[in-house]
Amino acid sequence: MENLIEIRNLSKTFRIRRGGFFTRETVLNHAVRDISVDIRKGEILGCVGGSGSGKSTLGRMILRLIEADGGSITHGGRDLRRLSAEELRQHRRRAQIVFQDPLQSLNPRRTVAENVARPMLNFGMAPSAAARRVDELLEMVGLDPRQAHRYPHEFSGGQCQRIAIARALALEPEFLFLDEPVSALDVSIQAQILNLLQRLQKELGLTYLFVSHDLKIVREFCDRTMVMYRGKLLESGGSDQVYRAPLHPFTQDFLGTVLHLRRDGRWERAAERAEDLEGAPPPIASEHCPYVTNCTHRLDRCMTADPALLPAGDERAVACFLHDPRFAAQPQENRKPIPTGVSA
Amino acid sequence: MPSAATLDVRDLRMGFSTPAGLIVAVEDVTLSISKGEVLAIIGESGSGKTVTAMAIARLLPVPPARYLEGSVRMGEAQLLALSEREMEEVRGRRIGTIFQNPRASLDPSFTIGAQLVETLRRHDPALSRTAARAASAQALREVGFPDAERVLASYPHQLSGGMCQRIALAMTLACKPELLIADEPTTALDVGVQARILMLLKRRSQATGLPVILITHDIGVVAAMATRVLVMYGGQLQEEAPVEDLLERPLHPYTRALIAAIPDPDAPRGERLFIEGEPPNLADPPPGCRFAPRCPLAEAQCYKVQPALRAVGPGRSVRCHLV
Repeated sequence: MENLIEIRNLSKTFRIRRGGFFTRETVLNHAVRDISVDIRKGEILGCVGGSGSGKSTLGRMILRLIEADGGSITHGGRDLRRLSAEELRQHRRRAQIVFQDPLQSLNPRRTVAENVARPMLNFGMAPSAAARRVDELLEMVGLDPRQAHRYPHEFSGGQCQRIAIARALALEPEFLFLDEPVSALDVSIQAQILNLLQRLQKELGLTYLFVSHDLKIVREFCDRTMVMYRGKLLESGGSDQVYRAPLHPFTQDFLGTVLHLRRDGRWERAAERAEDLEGAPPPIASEHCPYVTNCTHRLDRCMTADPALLPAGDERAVACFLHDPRFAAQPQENRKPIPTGVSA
Repeated sequence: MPSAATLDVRDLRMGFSTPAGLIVAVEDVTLSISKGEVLAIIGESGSGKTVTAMAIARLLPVPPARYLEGSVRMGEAQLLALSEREMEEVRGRRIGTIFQNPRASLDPSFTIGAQLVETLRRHDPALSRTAARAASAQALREVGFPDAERVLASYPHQLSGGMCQRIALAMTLACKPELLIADEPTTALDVGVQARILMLLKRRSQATGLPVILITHDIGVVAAMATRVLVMYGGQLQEEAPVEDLLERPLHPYTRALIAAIPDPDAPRGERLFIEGEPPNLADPPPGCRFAPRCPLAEAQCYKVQPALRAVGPGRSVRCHLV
């Protein structure tokens, strides 16, 4: 399958000023570290990880809402990081975003029609043509165009998310970055929005990057899944495979904490060990695997080197020495997690 | 009629005065909870689950909230008859609460230590500052902070959301309440952090018998935590059951849909069942069953006649014409 977006060695470091008024101190937060991934044309790629894993930053860099520090992003063969301001503006037609909180992402002082028409007017469409297109878009997302004169606060969360989706589709983009689009919604509404997104993807031939911390949803909704932790890509592969047979110890632990309906003690065991999934930086200074502190399978090598993402067969890839034939033969034992300090 | 229950709520009816008139947000809720129980109240936004919990702790401002009917009893005390001052005592000593947004329950301008010490000394004025500090550190260790001293010296903004929620929990538990009300305590958090906090809560309840009313919209949380479950929809109780019964043999079509919405981790992926439509508008509720407009099984009578909550077995009741 053809790649729509190719990401190579992408990195982003935020500088965070900390400390009091007089004691200024800068902390570096490596939000995204050396990530390479392809997004194939027409696929739904899921990206999972806890808060602070860098998944949102990654998506925003693809839209250039956040500027990368290093690496490259090409979209349809064009190097996004080299676009001029006008080229970038034109690029907005091709790539759009849907945010987590629909009510906050719509302009509360504009009607639904004005909200949805705005991108089209920005790109010079005549108001009458835009108005016709608004009706079309609202119908496409399952809303009644006769309600277009109302304001966002008159709609429920699920309806607002439909409006936000209509607006994202206004310019007929080929790529949508869906940043936790259903996390703020009730379970029964989540399923409706996911079904809508799925239908639109098929009908319009869209490509999605879907970011979520809910592995159950990602498994159902996405063709492939990538797993991030502390800014690193730890594992990728077909969603069903990653879910059913996770390779990286982090993915295994993370999956264990997903709530399910069977009361067989599996969740309890994972929850007891969930301590470090929160992602506090480890106390070790040198190069190492990002998950080394909490990993019960670690090798000596994991403490001193950061494993690279290597193919693991079946279109899968994993960054873990346990799956690297050169090191996997080393004896391993079940080890206790290294206690981490409290960090901010 | 005295009972062994820690808390007894009878026929609670709560309304809100709005410019459009009175909206009844909770109708005829009867529930009780005893030592050792984790009672989950599950429902979506607008179901009345949070209003029920807040009404019990009398945390809703009156007006606009209005207690229309019912009683809330804790031991000998009728909570709805207490003065605001007496109620403050009850909230400080007998009912602990934790909320969805942990940062909102901490004061951003004081260290965690200062806030814990103040809480503990308010609770027990005889406690010295040094003793309160030691007790605070102990309370933090109990919720999984090995380096309690460092946390005590931190401000809320220096800590993650998960840490703040653990601290809020420590603060509440340090006052040794008779009942804990937890309103969506992990909704804003990652699965891993969520697992950790739920486990803390579960272990504490199992170890000390602390009864917990757990408000959630996630049936997964119910399965992991609850001993008994109330399902709310449209301001009414729709089903009540022990957790195993509810998960294995859900009776109400709404409960069945909630359970079907969660995919089995071991099953192959497939289409998931989902409920069409939106929850009812309580300013203008449907005349029959509140769930009828979204119910895949609804028959003619469901749209006209409101079903009553009926007992259907030990500890089980359901509000549905078709059961």
